[in-house]
Amino acid sequence: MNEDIAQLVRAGLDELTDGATVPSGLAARARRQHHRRNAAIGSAVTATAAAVAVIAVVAASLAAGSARGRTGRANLDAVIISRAERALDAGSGDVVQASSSSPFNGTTIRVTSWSDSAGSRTQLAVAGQPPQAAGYVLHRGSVTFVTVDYRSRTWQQMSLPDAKLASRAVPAAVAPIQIIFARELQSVTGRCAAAGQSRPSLITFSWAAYIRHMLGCGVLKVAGHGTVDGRAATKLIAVGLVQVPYSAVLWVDRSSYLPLRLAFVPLKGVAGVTQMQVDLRWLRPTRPNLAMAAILPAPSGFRQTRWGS
Amino acid sequence: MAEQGGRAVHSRQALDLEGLLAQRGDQLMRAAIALAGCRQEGEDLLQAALERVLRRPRRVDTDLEGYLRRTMYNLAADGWRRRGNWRRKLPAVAVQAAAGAPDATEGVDLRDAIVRALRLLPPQQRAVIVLRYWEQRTETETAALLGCSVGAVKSAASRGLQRLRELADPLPDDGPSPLAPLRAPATKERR
Repeated sequence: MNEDIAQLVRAGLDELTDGATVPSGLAARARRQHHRRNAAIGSAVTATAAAVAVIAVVAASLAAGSARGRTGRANLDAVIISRAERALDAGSGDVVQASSSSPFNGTTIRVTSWSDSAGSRTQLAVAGQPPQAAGYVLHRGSVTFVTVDYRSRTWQQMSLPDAKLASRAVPAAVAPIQIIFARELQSVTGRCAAAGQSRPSLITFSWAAYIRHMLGCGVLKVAGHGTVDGRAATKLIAVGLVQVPYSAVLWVDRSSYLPLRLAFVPLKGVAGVTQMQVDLRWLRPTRPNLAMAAILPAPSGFRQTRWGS
Repeated sequence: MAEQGGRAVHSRQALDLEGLLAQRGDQLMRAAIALAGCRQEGEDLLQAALERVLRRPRRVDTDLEGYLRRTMYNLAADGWRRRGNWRRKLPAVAVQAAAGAPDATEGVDLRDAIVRALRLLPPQQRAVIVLRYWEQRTETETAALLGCSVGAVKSAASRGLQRLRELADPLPDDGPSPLAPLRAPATKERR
């Protein structure tokens, strides 16, 4: 009988593990988590040592408990962040849809972008008016920026041979909401850049790349749970921010760990700063979804005009 | 990798984890899933083992894969998650952890029942069952990998199999057990 159940175990585990492949980037994630853990333990030990020096034995035992708590907390953060990174890697072929709304002159501007690894298209719509679209196409290291004006039924394009050189050459009219978010995100992740971690491009903006950057640079901590549009979600908050008047909040799906919402929430008592929020959807790379992310070809019947005219 | 006193010692930079995963990653991943009971936790386990290796690079001898496997087996046997206080918080976050509980769907496949039951075993027993009956290791090899005695392996294997039968047995209201054909006749006679 033992042999029978052993055979069942074999067959069951064969079935469970069939076709399993190691996720790409697992070793890199392990290294990042290793560094994050070291940093967390280092700060906890430093805090403990300081407490020992000041308050002696009784306080030291309390601080040691605190250090253990911080380490456990760091582990929870690390697991959630690691799973979110894995989800991003697994969804790297997806089309990312990002939607946000902002009040403007008594009306609302709705900005929606679709992006994939080949490019991005952003549509800007003001209530009651034809939309405008802007985006870029990446091809063999070069980048082509495109704007489409649905009012005048015209479109423009500009190509640069090297996408890396594009950072200062492109007007902010291209994907303005991304530019705003990108600047804030660059503030949030500023200390990662200071530590030598390279930042994703500001112009060829990718939500996945920026969120991965945020996750990787250790500014996010688990802050609780909630729902986003009816979906159970885990809340991550960027902590230790300096020089920015808000907190950055990232919600990730509790099942898939894919990011659902990114918001910049003004700190209490800070005036003149409004909340910015973008809702994210991860779409399968079907033909219609990929077409949403393609800014070219321009709509048929539209006339091409000179860039900047 | 540098030689020190005849023993190969890896510096952290020299640990070619990427190379190892490129060559043997899928096999390691399958072992991790078998030990953990589901894919997501298998990834967590393999990643935890990689981190542990990074933490103690000097303990790695020439056989990086062997060391990583031993680390993974031991983490699984120790119930690596259960030690940290964050483990208690994880179920609230990882809703799919509930996937380990048997569902009430009729016609549950026998193998699924066994795999789900396997997840409910104590970590040590689960690791022994996986090593003995899936990886087909001998009792001696299993004992060496887990750092315990052969007697402990025998005991864990025997108890594990017995527990699998009990765990895969559904409640009376759920109908006949998928394992009913495997029940020992003596059990029925005693009843």
